[in-house]
Amino acid sequence: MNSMQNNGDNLLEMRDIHKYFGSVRALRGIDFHVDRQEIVGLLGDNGAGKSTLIKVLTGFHTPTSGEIVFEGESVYIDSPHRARELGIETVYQDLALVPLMSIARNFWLGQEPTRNFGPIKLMDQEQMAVEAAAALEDVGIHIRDANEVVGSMSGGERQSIAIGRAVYFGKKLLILDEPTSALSVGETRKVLEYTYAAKERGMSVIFITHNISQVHAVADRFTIISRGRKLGDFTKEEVSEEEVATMVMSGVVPERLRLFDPEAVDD
Amino acid sequence: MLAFFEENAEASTGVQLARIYMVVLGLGALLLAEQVLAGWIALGERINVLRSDINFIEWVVSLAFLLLAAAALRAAWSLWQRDRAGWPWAQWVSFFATIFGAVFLMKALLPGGIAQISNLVAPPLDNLMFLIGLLLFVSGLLCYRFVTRGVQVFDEKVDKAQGALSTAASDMTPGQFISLQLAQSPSAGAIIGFVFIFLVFSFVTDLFLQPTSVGSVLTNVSTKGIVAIGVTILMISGEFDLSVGSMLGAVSVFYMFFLTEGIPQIGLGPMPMLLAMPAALVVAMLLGFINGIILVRTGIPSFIVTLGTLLIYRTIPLVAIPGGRILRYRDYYDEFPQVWISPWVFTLLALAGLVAVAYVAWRLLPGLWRGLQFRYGEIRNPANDGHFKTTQTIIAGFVLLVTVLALLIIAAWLLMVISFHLGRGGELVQVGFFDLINGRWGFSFEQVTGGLFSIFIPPGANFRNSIIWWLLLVLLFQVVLTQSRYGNSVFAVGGNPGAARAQGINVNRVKVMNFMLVALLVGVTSILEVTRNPGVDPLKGDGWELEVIAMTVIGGALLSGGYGSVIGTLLGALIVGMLATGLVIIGMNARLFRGVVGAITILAVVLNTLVRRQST
Repeated sequence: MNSMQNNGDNLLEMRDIHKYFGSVRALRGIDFHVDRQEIVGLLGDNGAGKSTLIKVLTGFHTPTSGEIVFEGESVYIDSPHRARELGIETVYQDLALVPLMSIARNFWLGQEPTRNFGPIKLMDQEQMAVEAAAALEDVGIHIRDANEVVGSMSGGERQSIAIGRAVYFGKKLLILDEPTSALSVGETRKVLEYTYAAKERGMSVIFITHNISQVHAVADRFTIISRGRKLGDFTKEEVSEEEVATMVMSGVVPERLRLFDPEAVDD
Repeated sequence: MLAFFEENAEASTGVQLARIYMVVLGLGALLLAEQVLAGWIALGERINVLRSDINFIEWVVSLAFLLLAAAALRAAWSLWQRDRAGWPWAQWVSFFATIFGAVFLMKALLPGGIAQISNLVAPPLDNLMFLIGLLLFVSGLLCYRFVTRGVQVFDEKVDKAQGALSTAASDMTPGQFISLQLAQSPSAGAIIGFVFIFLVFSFVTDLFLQPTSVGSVLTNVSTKGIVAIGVTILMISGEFDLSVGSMLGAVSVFYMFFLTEGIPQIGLGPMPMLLAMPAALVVAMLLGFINGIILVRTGIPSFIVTLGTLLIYRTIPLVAIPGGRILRYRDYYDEFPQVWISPWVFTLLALAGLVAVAYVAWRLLPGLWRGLQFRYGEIRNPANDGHFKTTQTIIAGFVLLVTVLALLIIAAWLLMVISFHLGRGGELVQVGFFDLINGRWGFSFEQVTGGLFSIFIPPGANFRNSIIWWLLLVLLFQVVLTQSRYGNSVFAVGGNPGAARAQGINVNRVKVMNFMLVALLVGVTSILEVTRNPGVDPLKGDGWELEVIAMTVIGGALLSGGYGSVIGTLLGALIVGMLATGLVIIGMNARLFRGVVGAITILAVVLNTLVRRQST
């Protein structure tokens, strides 16, 4: 049921996270965890607080109160840079890649390999192109030419490259923010495949969406958030797709899964 | 037509025509070259000149026709031998025949047209030139259409079989090659505009290609061009700077005061000449830092921030130089500063230059040579069934040739400088300090180069050192922008700040750095401008900001960021410079200049957009 395992197997654990913006209580005591090699679907209606929760995790916001434990250690994530250092990579739908730059340059952005001419360091463009293509091939992404501009690629291809990049650089936690909402059915399936490939290579994935049908196939567990509170964690086996959809929309947990009454505990 | 390559196939009428055309064209080009060399066809300025004197333009034209003749006969030979390489050769020959024809037509038609616009007496139409031009143009175009159509059909078949991109798998026609290069370049509009404007001015008036005009274009545009480098990089990172003109005025005044009276109000005396320069650069970077820090701390758009600092920075020279007069170096000192430098310093500098040339040659040439060999091997390789790489081979050979020639010329020049200074023994070189920074070639700067500039440059021409600084800075920042990690982050910050931030790039830091880079280059320009005509007036740099942004935008940079190139801006600056000088030379009203620059700006951006849309 509400599986609050603190058995050290967790990659990430967020305990009692509160986030207030002035008088607005965006998060009201959320417990959230991700196991290793687990795909978690983070679900909730618009304004439920899932984006705020992720922004707390990735350092865009600092929580008003609460604790974040990553790989067994309590961490203080105060900047996106810090989150990156920890191995948390976020793939935003429109913020994943720079459209006017080539695949290779996007792939290596921020950590380009260099060749040295005495004191002068120049990017090793050949290595960048060859290694980027090989790394993407490794996750099953075929590209024609690593020097091709990203702007000419489809949304799904861009997501895939961002996922492949996160895998290559040995990230531990991949956060996909509404990755498939603008994609066609075929492309969505591809992105889900790459997500699964990322899991196979040892990563954990948080899949944020309000559309349950997209993640039901790959997710191991769902965490549902409603109005700044967590409704519960549900493994794929214990809930049906329809039940999850109802919970996301109504914010009410069915009798058989209920642990607490969100209205009654409201402070 | 492709059946032609199969053994024993009959040559179609078209192929027969192409064979004959190549022979006729080759012999005709030979004849033309001979006529020009013999002086029977006169080109360029031919007033009061003996028929036997061949001028520069005639040398170039006859050489071009000799090359065309050689290539045409080569193509004809291949076509008769049923050698596949005959087709790319025929493509290139007909391509250049078309271009030569267009050039001759322009030469025949343009001067009259322009003369009518600018109320000059129109020269009579040159019938011979018109006829040659028309013949070459029409026949070249027809042959090119025929030859490329056949090859493209062939490529499409191969592409379908291999599922590959045609440009990657097989040979390109010259047209494909050029349009691909343009599509890949951020400065397509600037390249087209540059070639077009250059050709028009060169044909309309013989005065345009004279050293005096070239010198005036380059010298006038070099200082603005240096500022434009910085503005381009800043624009690529998504911001722009309206305050460069005012900043130039402010920094110039600071530099002038540092050199002469110091700033007594804060107890600062006059500085030594060598210290005044870095001090001025520090002041400049401080001004740029202010721009940048206001931008990132407040989040106000750069238009507003730099509009504010445009007004603020302008008050510095206005207040510091009361009465709107011009502050001259001569007001303080009778003589310009002179320095005495050992000839060994120049010898060593030239030697260092030689080492650098050798290093560049060592790094570049083997790769270029291998590339040429590889591509030539691809032509001969029977496994590449029909995939000639003639276009790539010709281009690779051309690049190699130009590189070798450029390196040889620089090396020869450096050797001459060395021998000149070695010949002086230990005698110290006396040279004006300001001339050392931004001197005029052929004047007191001859003390440094040993009069070697004046071999090429007649006394009237105004070439200055600022041209060299400009070109060196363009080269430096082109490498920084395209090859360094910092350059990559600049593109990312402008192209998608969110993605850059997500990859750990400090977006604000890059923006502030770029504002300071612009300011640094404005500082360099201030020093060059102050030392050119030692002095400063309170309105120095007024109106530069818009002209510099025009250069940048003509050069292909996107105002929204993420796209652009320093080389494009170099071309943009040259376009603006050619217009400024050229419009005066052809007798148009010089007051039209701003209007023409405005029209060219819009046209170039439209061209850039069209090309980019086609490529993505």
